[in-house]
Amino acid sequence: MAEVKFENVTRIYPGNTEPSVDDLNLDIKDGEFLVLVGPSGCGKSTTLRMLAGLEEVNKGKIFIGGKDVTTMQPKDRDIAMVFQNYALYPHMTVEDNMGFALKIAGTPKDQIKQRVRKAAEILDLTEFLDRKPKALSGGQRQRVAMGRAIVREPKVFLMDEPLSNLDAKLRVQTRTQIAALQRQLGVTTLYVTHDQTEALTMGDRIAVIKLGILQQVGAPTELYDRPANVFVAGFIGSPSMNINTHPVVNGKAKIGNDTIDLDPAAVADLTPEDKGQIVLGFRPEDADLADSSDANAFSLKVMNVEDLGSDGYIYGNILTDGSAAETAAMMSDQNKLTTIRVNPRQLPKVGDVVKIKIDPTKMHLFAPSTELRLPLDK
Amino acid sequence: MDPRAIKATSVQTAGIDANVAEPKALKITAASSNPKMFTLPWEKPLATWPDDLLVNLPRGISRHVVRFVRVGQETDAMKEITRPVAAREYELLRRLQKLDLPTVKPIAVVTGRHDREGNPMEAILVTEHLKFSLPYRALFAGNLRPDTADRLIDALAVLLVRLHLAGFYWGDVSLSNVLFLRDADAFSAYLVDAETGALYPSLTDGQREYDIDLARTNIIGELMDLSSGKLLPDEVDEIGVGNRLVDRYHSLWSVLTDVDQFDPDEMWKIEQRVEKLNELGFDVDELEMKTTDDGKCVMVRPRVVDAGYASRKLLRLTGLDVQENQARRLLNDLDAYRASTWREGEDLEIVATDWMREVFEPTVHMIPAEYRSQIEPAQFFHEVLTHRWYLAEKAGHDVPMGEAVVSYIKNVLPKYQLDAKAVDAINAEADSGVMDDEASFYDSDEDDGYNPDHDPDAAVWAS
Repeated sequence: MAEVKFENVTRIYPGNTEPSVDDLNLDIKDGEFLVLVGPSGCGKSTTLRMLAGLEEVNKGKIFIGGKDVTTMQPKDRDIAMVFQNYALYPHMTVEDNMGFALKIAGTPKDQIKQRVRKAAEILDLTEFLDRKPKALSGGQRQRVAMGRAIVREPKVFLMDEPLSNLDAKLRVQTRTQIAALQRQLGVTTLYVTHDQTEALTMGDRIAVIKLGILQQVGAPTELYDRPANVFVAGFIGSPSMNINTHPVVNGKAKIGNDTIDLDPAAVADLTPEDKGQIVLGFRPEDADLADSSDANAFSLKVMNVEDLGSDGYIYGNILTDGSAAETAAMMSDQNKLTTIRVNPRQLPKVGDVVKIKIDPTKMHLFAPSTELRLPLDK
Repeated sequence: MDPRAIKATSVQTAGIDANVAEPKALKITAASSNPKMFTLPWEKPLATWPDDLLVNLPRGISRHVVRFVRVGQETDAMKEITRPVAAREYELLRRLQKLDLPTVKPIAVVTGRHDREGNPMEAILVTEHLKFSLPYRALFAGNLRPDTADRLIDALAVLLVRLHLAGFYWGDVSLSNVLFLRDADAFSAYLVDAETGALYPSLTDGQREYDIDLARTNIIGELMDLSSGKLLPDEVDEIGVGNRLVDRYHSLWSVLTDVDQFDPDEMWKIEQRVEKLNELGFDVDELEMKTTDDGKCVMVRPRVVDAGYASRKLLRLTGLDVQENQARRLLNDLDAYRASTWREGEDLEIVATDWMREVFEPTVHMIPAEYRSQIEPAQFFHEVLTHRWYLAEKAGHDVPMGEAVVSYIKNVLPKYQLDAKAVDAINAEADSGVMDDEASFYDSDEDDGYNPDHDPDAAVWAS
């Protein structure tokens, strides 16, 4: 049982000028499942490797259970890099496969037995303890490999994209298993992935990182409902949030010939650097078709529709007056087409122009200059 | 691109980008073109490929389905894994090959596989089968010398040091992830699995220590397993062998990288150090020499390029590309030939040509056809020399080479024959560790004790 603390941690690779991890401050609570997520090259694996002791820390400190481990060797940190590639030994029973590393470490026999039994129970392997791997299904074998990590009872589990070598079906299943297992065991866990779906479904909290800088830490719903900046807004959620920049005229966003009401508090926080514009984001499920007479809606030219039975998706281009400022779309799914989730029984036809109304309580506003969420937290 | 993105290990940048959607049609990204590659049944799971395509060679333990497949004149090792992992490993193996490190040679990544119903399938990583190599389990299946485990560990320690010097962090060091080639009386180890590895400009102590610690645990586990299967001689102490790796690694690493301090009048010690490195098979590229501030001491750090001192020399002289210890043995024989034919004044290159024609080639031509795929010519030559020495000692006089070869073929060579039954047993063992084969993932045979109600997997599928 231990909490993990990164204190002003910086890692600069030799030969680089920019830090790969920059002044990171992050607490992982005792027993918490924290997912570190971000795109390729964001520094998430570097962060995990610093905690593992595989990577040097140039500045700052790392604590595990209150103990400074910044310069400690990996094997002395009481961490387990989990089942990246554990092999199963054909002549050993399940029990021996799970417990042999403890035997090497000189753990007393009765203690090994007790820990293996406990892990087997959690992994539903009790009745197979005397079997050899040959008599197990592939899924059971995988759980035996997990057992090898569990019996060590480390202070912290580290998992670096552990699902990347599983095919899609096994990935979904193992994802569920790992999350359930971690909750049962209550071992502090740092899990690294580039896949935001994994992050949302598994983590107690998620830390989003980009180019070495921590963007936001919070519960999945917090990141989903209140992304702190444009990057988090675009990164978390699938299909991703529709995000566009629009001019602000008389406190409203001007979209082509239409206007959309904005939160006055957000508009009040705009600065001259924002040049009279605002970044407006909304998730595909937070908008709907509106009447053509609706004043607080914008026009969308339908480019494609999808009927998934339970949901319908409209992909379209926002109709603008063609001004450069307005067409500067920043991030969106489907090659920057705007995505709207609607009742599949109401899907328009391709080529139609429809009116779309955004749920005002689910609108995300950001300052173009700082990309920070508006209104600012004060 | 941002340098940090290039350094990223979770998703690779070059070649086959993991972020790009799975190709809709079969795609073979290959380093060389072998048209036979296209005729293989990619639409079938590797585990179900017909026997007539497969080569029955012993395989190591793997989490994934692995098969040896005949592709035209070549034998390739195929491994079924997810596309990002295949792409990443392919790229990494290519980079290690460029650094001249002892690894298997990557041939291709096959993506966009679909079964007959159009369902997407895992990718396949294709590497060239390393001729004459054996997984450690096959070495333990035959009649082995009691020190086999030690010799394998020594080879693994050299491999690990070479990889670490080049900046390769392995992340999964084990006997299973290595192939062994006989190298005179020793072994050479080749890396076969780079799934968890990464290449850095240089490694931190933490990375090296982690690899060593993992290697120790895995080796001990692998030996304990052999012991459970009664395949390990009783006198082998598994933990002792595991610790041997740690010791061998550290002593080799320190010989190769430590800074020596000499008095200015002890410069001969530098030469001694270089000789010692050459003996270990390492070439010295340059010596970094610094004088201490008071001028009383010279500090020397060799920049070691790589192993293969003797083998490069032999290659230059004869065109023979062999393992380091074999090369040393052959060079010794070449020297002996030169002395016995009174040609010490002649160019070694010319003598070497004659030695090849008169000594080496006639000997290795005598390898019986059925053993040609089992023993390397240089290893055969080395073992005949050793055998000849024993015969001579017994007889009390010199034994002609021809006689030694005949005796060797009759009395010693049969130990190389790994019978088909032994190979099948090894491969059945290897298959029992496979975790990600969909065909084996759900075993609903109730007689086998499997009950879907007790299996959390089943619950997930039902939901």
